[in-house]
Amino acid sequence: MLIKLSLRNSRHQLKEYGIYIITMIISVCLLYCFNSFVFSEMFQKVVALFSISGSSGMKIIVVFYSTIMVFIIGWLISYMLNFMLRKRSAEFGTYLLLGMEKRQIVELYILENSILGVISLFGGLILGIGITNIFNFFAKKISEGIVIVLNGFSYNAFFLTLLYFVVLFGVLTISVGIKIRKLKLITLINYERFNEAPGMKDLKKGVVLFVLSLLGGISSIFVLYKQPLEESNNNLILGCSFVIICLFLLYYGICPFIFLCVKRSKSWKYKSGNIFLFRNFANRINKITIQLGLASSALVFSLLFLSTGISYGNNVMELLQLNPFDVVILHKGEKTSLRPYYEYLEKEKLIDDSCLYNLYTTNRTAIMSIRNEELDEYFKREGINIEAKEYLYDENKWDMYIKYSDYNSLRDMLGYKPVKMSDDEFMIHCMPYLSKGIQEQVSQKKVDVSSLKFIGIRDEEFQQYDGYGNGQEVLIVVPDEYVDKLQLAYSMLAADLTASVKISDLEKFVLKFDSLEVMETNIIEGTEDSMTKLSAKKGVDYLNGRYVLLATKVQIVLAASLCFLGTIMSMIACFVLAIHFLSDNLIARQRYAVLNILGYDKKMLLKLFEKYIFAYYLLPIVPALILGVGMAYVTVAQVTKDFFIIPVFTETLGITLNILGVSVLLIIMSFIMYAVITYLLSRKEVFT
Amino acid sequence: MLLHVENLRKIYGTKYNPTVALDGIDFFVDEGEFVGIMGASGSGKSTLLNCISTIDMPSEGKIVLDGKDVSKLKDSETAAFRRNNLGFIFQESKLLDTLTVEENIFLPLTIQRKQYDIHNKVKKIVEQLGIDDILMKFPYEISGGQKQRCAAARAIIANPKLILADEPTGALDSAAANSLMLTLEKLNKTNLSTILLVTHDPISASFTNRVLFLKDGKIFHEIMKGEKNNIDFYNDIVNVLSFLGGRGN
Repeated sequence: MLIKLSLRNSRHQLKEYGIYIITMIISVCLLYCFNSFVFSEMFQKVVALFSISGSSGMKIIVVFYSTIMVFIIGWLISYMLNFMLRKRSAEFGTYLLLGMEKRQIVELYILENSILGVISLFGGLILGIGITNIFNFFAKKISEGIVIVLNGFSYNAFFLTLLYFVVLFGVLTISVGIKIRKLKLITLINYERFNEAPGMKDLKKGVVLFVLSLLGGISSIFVLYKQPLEESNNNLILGCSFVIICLFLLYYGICPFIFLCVKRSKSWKYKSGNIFLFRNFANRINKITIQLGLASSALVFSLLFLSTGISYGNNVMELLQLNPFDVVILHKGEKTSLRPYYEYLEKEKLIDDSCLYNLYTTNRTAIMSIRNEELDEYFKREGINIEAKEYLYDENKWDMYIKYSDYNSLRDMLGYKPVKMSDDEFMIHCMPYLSKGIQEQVSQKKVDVSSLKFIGIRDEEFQQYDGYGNGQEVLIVVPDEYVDKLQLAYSMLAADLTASVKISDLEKFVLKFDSLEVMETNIIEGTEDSMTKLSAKKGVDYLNGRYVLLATKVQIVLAASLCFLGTIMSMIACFVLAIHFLSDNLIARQRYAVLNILGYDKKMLLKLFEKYIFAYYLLPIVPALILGVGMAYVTVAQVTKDFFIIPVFTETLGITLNILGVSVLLIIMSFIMYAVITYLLSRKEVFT
Repeated sequence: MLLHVENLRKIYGTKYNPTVALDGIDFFVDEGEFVGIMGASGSGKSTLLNCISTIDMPSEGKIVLDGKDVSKLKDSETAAFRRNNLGFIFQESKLLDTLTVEENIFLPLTIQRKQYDIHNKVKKIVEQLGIDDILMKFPYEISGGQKQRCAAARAIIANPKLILADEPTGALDSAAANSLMLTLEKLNKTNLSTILLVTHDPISASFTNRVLFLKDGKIFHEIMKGEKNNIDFYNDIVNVLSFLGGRGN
């Protein structure tokens, strides 16, 4: 009989409390997505990378957020179970009156909730798996098939989610069951009538907390900008702690603070609907101060993660632009033929265009000394504690040259207009930050480059970032015969591949040739005079270029990880706010009904309702955006600065503001979407 | 004549299965009167009150309050009509739990667009009703009797033409009920407030000047207090109720 009753009740509850079942399903889904992300190969790489560098920052963040996720899911489940108890208390009271024992009612309750729990768990897992696959699909599309963000189905994530949910749900259901057992019949029957006492918290205490929260906010900005502690990780943790303190105290203190400001104003107090609106609002805030703090913090971190992720992504895009050739093969030193590689790529129909050429050098440092001066000035300006010569590969300390014919072939590959140059002229191709300095010094003959006439500078992207490309940031273009006087520095093959080429094709390519290796950082070694050099093995050719960057750059992984985490944080915040608002619909309906009887017409009531929901959603997002933008600005600027040691962007402020703007817009859009859905659902229930 | 109810009918249900809640009610109330409406459960008392208060619309008939036919009011006009003409006291007080007592009391004045010296108005009324010491408290902090007195204060603060009280003593103990009825009696005598009280309690009804008895949607009987005291009027009421219950046969 009990099972039949449970099944009937569960079916009834599915309809009646649909929103809460959906809440649980989405909670499980979020938990699965988060666990899937933590267990992904990509994220494990990121953690390993941080560990290698001696930083436990990433692990701390993961543990922190795992705890927060479990706490939030547990709170959601607890809230929902208690809500349903309140709604069904009279029903349980009736069962008792009819002669059922308390033990039987508790069993009934546990059985029903188990059925709903199973539905929520599997619904949530299926939804979670679906979402991770969709996310992967888009990540692969954006990264041209390179990046797989999450595992389509992760056993670890599945079982961990199952474990968390079963434990949380089980423990909380049993605790509510124990609560029912202890309740008296009269209490059960009247349970729904027992409201929490509304009202304002202690006014003076509230104002003090409000002031403290402002101080917390200011402190967080100070710590993030001034970085008073030595370790930048510690500054970030301290700054984040101040942000969280600020937000939690804010919601304890803001209503008393506003009340003290307005209570003397009779014109405000007595104006239509204001006092009802304010009291309603204050009452709500008082009940959910912790949840508001959580939601607001989640929004801050969402903004931080999103903007940092976008910043990494932007930097990677810029890096790819600086490496315009899909593939570059480099051989250091003695003359060799890279033709076999070209022939293989040609045979496999992987190649669109290519160029075999050499780079030359001499014992002059006319141009490289300008480069070092410019860079030293930049480092000094930015407070970066290194010298230009420390960021210079040993082989590149001398001026580097290229034949004019090879230079134009490369320009042609990249779609640039060819350059006209006669046999007694030379030009320079460099990165944009060097253009002005070199132009000045060379044209004023402050530096003697060669006997040739200087005709100018080009600064388009030309594989000049990071040393082992077409010169380290600068290359001198000379007539073809001129190089006879120079020494060979590198033999090079630059190639553009067809659109259908995948990373696996390149992996096959590398495996095909024993002499070919991918250029990675562990083949660079330091010299006695603080430079680095290619610790090239004899007879080895190195593969570099855009495709290698995509496959090996961890920042891509970091970018995707952070964006995903940011999205989850934002969803959690919106969700918590929506659930709280919707759970109050019944009480709101009663209050608005009283106002209607007292003489508020429907239009006035709707206006009050709209003001209320507007204030409700404005309250967590405004402080979150203010603090979040402050934090994100510092982080994005730092990420951009740290990513490129040399000045790659001509204007970093614009880029930073752009990234912040996009992140803020994304968060606001999703926030507004949730707010509108909540408004429509709530309005339907309150005003029918 | 402040209120005239003419041939009022209210029918619920479908054409094939109608329930007649009010079946041709006719009565009037003069300004300053304190009228009670009594009857058994299902006699139509609350339906009658809901129709007069524009909470519900009658199926037939007329309700004229201060020269205005409220049965013909549009939906959009009813709220305005209520705020300008009526005051309410419910069984459950229906005070807003998020507002203090003072704020609950002056709430009707904030809806109206007229200028008032709200503070002084509130002060005068709460002193009259003996609730000036609980103004800063919230409803959960005061007793049922105090809540009902607050509800009474809220009902009269905008000087409504008619106060409608629906079982105001229903949830109170006898002492609190007695106190509330004395308050209403005082309001009627001192402020000349016109009050229509729906109740099933003869003791509460004995405070009124006139009692209408409803049975099966019709006015069955009417008695006047005249010069009698409450106890004598109470006895009259009980006799009528006994007769209504079939003991008169």
